[in-house]
Amino acid sequence: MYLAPTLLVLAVVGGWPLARTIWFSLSDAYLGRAAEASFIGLDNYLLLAGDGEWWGAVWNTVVFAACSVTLETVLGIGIALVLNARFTGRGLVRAAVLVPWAIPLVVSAKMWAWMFNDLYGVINAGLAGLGLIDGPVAWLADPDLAMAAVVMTDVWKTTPFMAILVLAGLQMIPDDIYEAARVDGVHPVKVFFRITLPLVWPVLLVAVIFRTLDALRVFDLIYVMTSNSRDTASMSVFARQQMVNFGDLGYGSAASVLIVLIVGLVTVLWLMAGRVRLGAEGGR
Amino acid sequence: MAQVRLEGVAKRFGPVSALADITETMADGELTVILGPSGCGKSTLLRVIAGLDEATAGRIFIGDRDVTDLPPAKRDIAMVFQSYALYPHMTVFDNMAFGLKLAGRSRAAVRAKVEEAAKLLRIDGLLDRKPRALSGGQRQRVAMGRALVREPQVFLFDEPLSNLDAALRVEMRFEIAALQKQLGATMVYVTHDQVEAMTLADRILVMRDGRVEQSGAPLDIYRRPVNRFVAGFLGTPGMNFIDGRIVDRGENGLGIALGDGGWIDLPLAAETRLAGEVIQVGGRPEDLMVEKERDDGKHGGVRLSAEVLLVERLGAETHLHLSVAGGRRIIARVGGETSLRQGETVRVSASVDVLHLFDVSGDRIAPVG
Repeated sequence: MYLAPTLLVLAVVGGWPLARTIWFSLSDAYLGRAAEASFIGLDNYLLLAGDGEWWGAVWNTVVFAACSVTLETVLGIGIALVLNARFTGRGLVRAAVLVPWAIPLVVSAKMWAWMFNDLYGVINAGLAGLGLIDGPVAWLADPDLAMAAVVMTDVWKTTPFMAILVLAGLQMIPDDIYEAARVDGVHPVKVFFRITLPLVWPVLLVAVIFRTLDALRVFDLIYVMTSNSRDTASMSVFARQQMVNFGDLGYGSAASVLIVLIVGLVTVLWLMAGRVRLGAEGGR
Repeated sequence: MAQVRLEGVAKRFGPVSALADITETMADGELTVILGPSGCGKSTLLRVIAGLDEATAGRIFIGDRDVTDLPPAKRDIAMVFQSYALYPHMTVFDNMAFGLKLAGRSRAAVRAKVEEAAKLLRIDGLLDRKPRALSGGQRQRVAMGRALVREPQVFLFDEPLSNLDAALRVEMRFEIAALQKQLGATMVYVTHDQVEAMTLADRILVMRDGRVEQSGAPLDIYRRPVNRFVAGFLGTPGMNFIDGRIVDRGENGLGIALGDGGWIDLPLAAETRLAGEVIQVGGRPEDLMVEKERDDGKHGGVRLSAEVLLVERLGAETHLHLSVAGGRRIIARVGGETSLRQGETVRVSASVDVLHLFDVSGDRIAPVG
């Protein structure tokens, strides 16, 4: 009974759009003519399964997620360890590190797009100045480099988030455990792998799940930097293009439903893997 | 085992002096308790001995070795932390074995060592558990086990019992004492609990404001505190203090006027140079005798009247809260069966030789008591 208002709100803002999307994905709905749509079963999904462009988008997304989350995690742990140490001006540095995270995504994406610009971009100018490149590099147009540029921008923006989450985990480890390790004569590298990492692991697991889910749904960053380019288009960019540019509401909805399923599957797999890993840790 | 020797050890944190010029020896095979109120520097002193904090000045010797510049692991010490500092993700066995394994001992040797220590501490049934599945007392034992397996020259304890409940504290206190005797180990034990200090210590260092105020055997310190601070810190309820002034009555000898008619005869004809001095008289609660007021003129050298404010009956003994001349409150400890009641006027007396006299700066006046 007390849950009724909450459930009602959830149904209106969550359930209804979801149900509509699932319905459209099973229909031949077109933008502007959604009301005339008729049920066509799994045709949209079958079409998707044979669509190379869709699988390209899936692959792009997976590469983007894997690369950016890995880099962010490693860099985030490194920065968190530095921020967890005692030094003068630590508060200021902690605040400064958060700046990229505080900038709206579209702004930082646009900023990096300009920096990566082949003719006026500061990155090419810098590299040329150092004599590392002969002519301008087309960062965002070159199929091989575009993904790297997008990943780099995401890493720049999101590493602080990772660092702060890991820092929170590090600060929960009491100092005297490290002191006990000092008395035990444990080498600092071993302290990191045998004490710090296992103790910060649960926090890390949650942080990586957050980031992975975000990365799998990535849209704005890629759309702002490289528009609909096939070389970098993510699953979300693909779905938007089908629905808005091509007006194929049914096909786009099918892609959207698949995104939800894939993200859900990854989450479940990751949680299970994490639990197995934790269990193994405990068994030793 | 080895002794710990400190020579002029000092520690500053920026402008704050935490330890000032400490020169002490903690004897081989003895349990030395560092006692003091919070913030007195006792934990800092222990951490400096352990090497977790660096001394700003002075030298530290363990046995014959100068360990001042060595890291904790090379000092041949083991430390038991107040919070136990167990590695939460490791089993009891691994907690105890971690240091040994990393030191490159063979598996069999590590296992033997850990099992021996576990048996000694009666935690041999818990080796596969994680710390969170243990009670406070069991965690305490594991922390001690981790120290034991290192076979150190010196054991350092930082308030090890303060996180335990009262009954367990008494039990663990007994076990630490037994273990110390059994191993003949040199132990340095920090606490703010004077009962722990009195019961465990072979020797006590009483600290205040980064200095050692007095060191010695527990009962010596209790009976002959060098100043007002030490006198007040040891003993529960604490020592009573009353202001007074030494008066020379010529042929009748010296006495102390306590204000409002209180009087103490002093058997010190020779010490007339003290005459006129303002002092504080200290008396332990158990040294005070309290009787119903009778005007028979006999008062054993001490004459002081008081009003009973509160009678606390503890069964074996009774604490009388008294208001003496000038409104000062004192506590007397008498037998469990006293018939005194709240509101009664009583006479407080004591034998002069158990009283303590302190001058205005708080130092003990040497010739008395």
